[in-house]
Amino acid sequence: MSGLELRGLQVSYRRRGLPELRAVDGVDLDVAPGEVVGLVGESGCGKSTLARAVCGLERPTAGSITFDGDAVEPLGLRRRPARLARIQMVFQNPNASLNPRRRVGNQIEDARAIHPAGHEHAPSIAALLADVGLDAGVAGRYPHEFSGGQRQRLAIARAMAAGPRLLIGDEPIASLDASLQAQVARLLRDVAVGSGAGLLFISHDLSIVRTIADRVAVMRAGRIVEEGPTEQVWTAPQDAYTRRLIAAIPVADGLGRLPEVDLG
Amino acid sequence: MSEVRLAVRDLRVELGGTTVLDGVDLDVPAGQVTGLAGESGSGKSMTALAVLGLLPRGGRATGSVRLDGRELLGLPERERNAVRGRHVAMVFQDPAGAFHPLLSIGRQVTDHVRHHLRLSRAQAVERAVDALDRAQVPEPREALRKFPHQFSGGQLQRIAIASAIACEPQVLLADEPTTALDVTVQAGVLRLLRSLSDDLGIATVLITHDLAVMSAVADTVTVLRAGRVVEQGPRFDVLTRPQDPYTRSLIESLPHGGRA
Repeated sequence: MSGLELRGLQVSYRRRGLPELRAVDGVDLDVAPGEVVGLVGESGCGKSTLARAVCGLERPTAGSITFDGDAVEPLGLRRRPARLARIQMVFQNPNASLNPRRRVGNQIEDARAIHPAGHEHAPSIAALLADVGLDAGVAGRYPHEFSGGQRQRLAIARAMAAGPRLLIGDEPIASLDASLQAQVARLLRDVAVGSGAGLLFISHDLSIVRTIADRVAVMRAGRIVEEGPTEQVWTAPQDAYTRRLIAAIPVADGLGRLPEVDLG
Repeated sequence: MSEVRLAVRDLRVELGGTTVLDGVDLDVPAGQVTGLAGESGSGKSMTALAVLGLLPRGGRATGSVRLDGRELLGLPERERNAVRGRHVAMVFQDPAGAFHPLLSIGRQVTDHVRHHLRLSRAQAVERAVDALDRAQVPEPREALRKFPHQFSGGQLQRIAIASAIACEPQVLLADEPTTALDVTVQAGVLRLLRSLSDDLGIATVLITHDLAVMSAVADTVTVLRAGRVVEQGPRFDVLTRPQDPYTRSLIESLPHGGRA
């Protein structure tokens, strides 16, 4: 089996004086190469913990994570095996994920160095920048010289420079203006799918996820409550929670309809 | 047409030699939600801060900001303080940052009430309970004894709104009040804001970059770009028949061009 496979994944946090918190509670999820899967849920549902586990930043308490058939081990003090460096992440806040004191070209260069085809055959910095709609001339600049949307494009270019087979976006558009969100989400989809990589797109915003995902999984309290092809989940949601999520999304139709509140 | 509570005319703000607001006109009528839209840096928040006289150091505002006919710009600090929180209140984006973490909710929701309205501690507590109740905070009396970390983001934003309306202000400035909240929680807070205008007649300014949120609650929409008003009108017209190309581009950039 190629791509990402989660089986019965469980991640728990021990809390002093409190019962253990099961942040991810038995999740099965697949992301095939070239496929875009949207993982949707509200704060505290465990979606970021799941992303961190897939990258090896959290140790699962039960279940398995395999990528192209190999187990994903939690990140330790040793250098990560090359096969696992092919999972790359784009974080929510590019201000925190880019180094403010290094030129952006150098930061992308670091990621090119671990490209599986070797440094010489990795796509050039100019090509990577062009893919995200930036000019090659900006490579010599520092992160603070860019706008928020451009910085997130740089983070995407850097992730792609490593030649990933799986890209994870953990709320990659949440800190952007509404007018940029759909655009950057589409860009992320295009560069991932264009290179044949899978994309796990994590967001609380189903209205954006819907525009780029092939499949959607809805997560609540550590579990996946509904999963299916995007249009099916959007137009004929089976789970009551999914229906509530969709009803709460405001629509820019100018009609002044207040979104539904379900107190149940 | 309801009575205009807050009238902003030709508002200009300079900050460190650059013009951040360039001739903004805005009418905020009682009982309505007046929407202020635009991208980061367009001057939405700066407009609210200029109304309250809370510009960053070195900022200078000219033009006119009238509250029920009374000019606010150029008021001495003492008189400004009597307006802020009493007649014009504000709610911010991040409810966790709006409260002091080490003081009880009760202390923070009654302090300004006692100061502005010269009420006793007991009277102020009753008023705070009423305001929390109005904002649909469950068990208001118990809530007063708790601390900010004991509440979720959505509950805390409701408490911030309760605190803002506790002195019965004429004008409420809400700056991205739901941007940090989950969509299901956002729906409740939007309904609350709408009801404050509908039921209490508060003149609300809703600042948000999210045109879908705007479409749900605002009566009129003003679109700002680089400190200038590019479009202004009734919600339905602005969202469905935008005249300005910039407004059009904002709407087209929404998922599915803003259509569901």
